[in-house]
Amino acid sequence: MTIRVAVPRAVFIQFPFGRLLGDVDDRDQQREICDDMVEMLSNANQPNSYKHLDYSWPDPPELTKWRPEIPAPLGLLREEGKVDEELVEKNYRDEEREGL
Amino acid sequence: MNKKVDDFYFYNSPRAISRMENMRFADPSKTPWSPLTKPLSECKVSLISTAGIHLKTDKTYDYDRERREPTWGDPSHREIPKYAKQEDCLYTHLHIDTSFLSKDRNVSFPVEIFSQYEKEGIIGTLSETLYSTMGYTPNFHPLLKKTAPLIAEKMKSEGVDAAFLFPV
Repeated sequence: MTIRVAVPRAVFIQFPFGRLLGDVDDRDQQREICDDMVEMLSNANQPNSYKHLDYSWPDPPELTKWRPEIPAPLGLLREEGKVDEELVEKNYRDEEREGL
Repeated sequence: MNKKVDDFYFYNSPRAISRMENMRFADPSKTPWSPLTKPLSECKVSLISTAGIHLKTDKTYDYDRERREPTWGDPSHREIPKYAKQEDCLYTHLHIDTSFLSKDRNVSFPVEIFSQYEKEGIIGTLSETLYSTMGYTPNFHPLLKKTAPLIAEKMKSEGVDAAFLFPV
C-alpha cells in the first residue's frame, strides 16, 4: 500500500498490527528495527527508497493476536449482518469530498 | 535478505485485498523529497504514531461519532510531550489490540528507544512534541488537507529535521 501511495523512504516488516517493532519488552528487537529505520533515513538518496526487512514473526497468523477483544463498530455491525458493503467501499475514497 | 513482505499475511481479507488493488497508484515521479542536509547526530527528530495515543488529560478521539457512523474515523491528531511517560498516555485505536501498547509503547511508538538514541548521540535531539493520529480514517481527505499541515507546521516551529512514522 505504501508503494501505491509513494513516499520518500520506507521500510516494510511482516509483523502484526500494533506490534510493528516486536513484542512487549523485547527492547533488543525493537531497537534493531529502529536501527534499520535510522539506516534508511541516513542512507537513502532518492525518493521511493524502499526496503523489505528480513524479520519473521515467531507465530503463524492464526496464533497471533492483533484484533481487539471488542470488535470496532464496523466489525460489530458486520457480525450482525447490518453493513452495507457498497457504502463502506464508497467511504474508502481518495477523492476530495466536502463536509467531512 | 530477499524476503518480500506480504501486506496481508496477518489480515488475509478479500475485502481489504480488493480495496488495495483498486487504489490508484500515486505518480512516483512526484514523490516529495527532502534530503538530510546534515548528519542525523545533529538533527532534531520527531515521531508520529497512528495508534490513537493521547495524554490522559487530553480529549479522546471521537469514538462516539464512529459508533454512530461506523464508516467515519476521527482524522484529528494529538500532541504528546516528549517527557510524557508510558503511563501518562492512553492507547485507544478501536481496530487493533492496544493492550500490547498499553504495556510497552515501544512495540509501535518507540519513545524510550529514541530517547536512548538522543543520549547516545545517534540523533541530535528528540523533538519537544511527538504526535499521534488514529489510523482508521476511511476518508483521509481531512487528514491530508487539515491534520498533516497542522503537524508539519508545529514541527517546523520546533525546528524538526526528520520524522519517523509508525503506522500500526
